[in-house]
Amino acid sequence: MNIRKRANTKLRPEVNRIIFVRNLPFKTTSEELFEIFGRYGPIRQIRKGVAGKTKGTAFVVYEDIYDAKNAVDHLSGFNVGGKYLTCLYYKHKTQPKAGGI
Amino acid sequence: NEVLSNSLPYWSRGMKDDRNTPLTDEDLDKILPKDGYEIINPPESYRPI
Repeated sequence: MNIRKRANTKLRPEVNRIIFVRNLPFKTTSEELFEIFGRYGPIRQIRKGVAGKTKGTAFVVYEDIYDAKNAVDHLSGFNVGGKYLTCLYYKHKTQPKAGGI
Repeated sequence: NEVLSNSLPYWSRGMKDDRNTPLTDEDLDKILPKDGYEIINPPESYRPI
């Protein structure tokens, strides 16, 4: 049972749950994507690039921000089909605002 | 506001900011590009750990 250091680890501002993955081999299947990324935690959604220039890239959204951080830390440079993955936190402006308390 | 801390929703306990609130599909559609991308569904064998 891996005990994750959760609440007290301070996350840097750019860390978030959406990971932009580049350098994926074109033949990577959905199952492979879920298998590679699913190891780090429950996945909210995966969008795979299918058109010309988006091929070989994907957006992987995790349920939990700590899982996303864990995945980026481990998967950057991960070898898939002879290519080394690039994993970046996807900087998006519309960060959902929590409801006022 | 110690009293409030346990009344916070489960996803934001221990997190000051709101980066862990659940994302709805609309949120994702607003954030992520749609053209050139397709949402793939998890295979049956996929069991979130």
